[in-house]
Amino acid sequence: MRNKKTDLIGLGAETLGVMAYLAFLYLLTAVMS
Amino acid sequence: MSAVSEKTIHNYEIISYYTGYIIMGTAFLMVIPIVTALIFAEWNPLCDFVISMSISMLIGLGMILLGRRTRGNKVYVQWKHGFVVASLSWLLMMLLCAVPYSISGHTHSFLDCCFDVMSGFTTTGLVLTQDLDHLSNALNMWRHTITFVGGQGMVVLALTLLVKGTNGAYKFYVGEAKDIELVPNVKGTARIIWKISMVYLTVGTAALWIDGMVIGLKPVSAFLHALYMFESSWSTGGFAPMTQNIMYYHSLSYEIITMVIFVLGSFNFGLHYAIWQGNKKELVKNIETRSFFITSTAACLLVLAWFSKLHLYPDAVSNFRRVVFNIISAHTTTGLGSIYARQFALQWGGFGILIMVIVMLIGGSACSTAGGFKGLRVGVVFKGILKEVKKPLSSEHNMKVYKFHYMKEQILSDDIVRSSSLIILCYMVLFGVGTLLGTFSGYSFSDSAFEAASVCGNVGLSIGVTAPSTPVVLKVYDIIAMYMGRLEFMSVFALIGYAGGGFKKLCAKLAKR
Repeated sequence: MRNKKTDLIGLGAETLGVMAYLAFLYLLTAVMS
Repeated sequence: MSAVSEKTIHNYEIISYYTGYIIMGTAFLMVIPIVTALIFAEWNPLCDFVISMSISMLIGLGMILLGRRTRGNKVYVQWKHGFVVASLSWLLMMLLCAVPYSISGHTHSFLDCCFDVMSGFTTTGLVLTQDLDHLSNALNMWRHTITFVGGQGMVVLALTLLVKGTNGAYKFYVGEAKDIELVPNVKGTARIIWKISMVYLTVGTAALWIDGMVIGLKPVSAFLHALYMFESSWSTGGFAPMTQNIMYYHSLSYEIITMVIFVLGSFNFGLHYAIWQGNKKELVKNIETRSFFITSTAACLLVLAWFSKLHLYPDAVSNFRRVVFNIISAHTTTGLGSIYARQFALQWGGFGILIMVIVMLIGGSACSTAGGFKGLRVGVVFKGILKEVKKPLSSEHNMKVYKFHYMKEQILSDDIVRSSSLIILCYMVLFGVGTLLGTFSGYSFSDSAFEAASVCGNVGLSIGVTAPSTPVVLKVYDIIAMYMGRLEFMSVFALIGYAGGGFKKLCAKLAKR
């Protein structure tokens, strides 16, 4: 909201955070399968 | 005219005036499918939407005219007005937005149209519309537009765009079950919510569009599918343009992109704003993300352990696509399904269904597009229980103050725990009644519980109960449950109380005469 750069960094941080969580869930699945 | 009746007229005028503007907003929204119909030369759907738009505009204008005395006078909008306007406009929007569905001929009855519209606006995603694969682009655009707008909040959008200087906008905003103020005024908050959603709309649609072309869709078709699937995922809606839902794409990459979008969509808009402001630590400190991390990981672990006994899916990728995808879809209250409805009943077993019911009821974050009783309330009640357990064990001289982190450090007061518990209790009652009605209608207990949790939590996954042949009583109940679940009860109670009060007065007047 401050400027486009911080907005994009925020968007990237959120998306990477969620992708990291999904990767963690995949690892969990691989271990449990 | 007596003072009491003057006051009553005044209340009705305020409600009529603001509700009229929201209806006008809904009418303007129909420009989107009208433009779509023009682009794709779909003349019959074009007529459907022009007729529907005209009806909505007439009703909206009529309501504004009825309450025209509100304009110009500095009217003090009270909480009751906010709650009643929010809940009443959702009901009227359901009826008016159902008109193009009804004219299209893709539904069995007007009740089915209302069901689909309420399912869209509340971002539930259950569908009664028939032959989805052959819907016009205009109607498909309409289905996904109402889901997208419903997720962000139609009432606030309409009031902030159409009404100048709405003094009580915050009360309408709270009436629509949103309670976070990102900036001191509601207009600014609504703008930020829409800005966040539009940025994600651009990025998410582009990602799905490219992936759609990679998996073999034609560019125009890939774009439309990308737009629909983004709107559905971001709003944690669950609608899809094809009957097979996400399975239509047969693509791991498409599923992963939609998963990322619906997890992001289930986050609180306050959390998005904090991170975009540079406060990245909020993502790990926030009670809701912590609650979501714990409950979703635990649910995945439990169901994966259960499936390791059943040997249903052969490898890790299959388990991830069938088990983890559906659990996260249920937990975020999205409702996109990567298996057929009856597979839950026939393959997942009692334990799998039980975990799905629990995560569907918990849902996503407060002030997000998600439903359920929300991670915030689960976290608060859990901390409240810990507080009560620790209280007798701590020293009487040291009064410890218990806190939780939700955008900022907040004191865990008994009032917060009580109000969170009350809302959870309301959801449980709604879920209980839905399960009872389902079993009474002849469905099995587990099927009824699954469908009731899906409806109350605004999820949209089905175990096969929701169909055009579902008994009318159950369909009506589902509409009420989606509506109450989305507005988190208070506004609906206010509307019932207001209508009940008006009815009582009318009866008293008639009795006097």
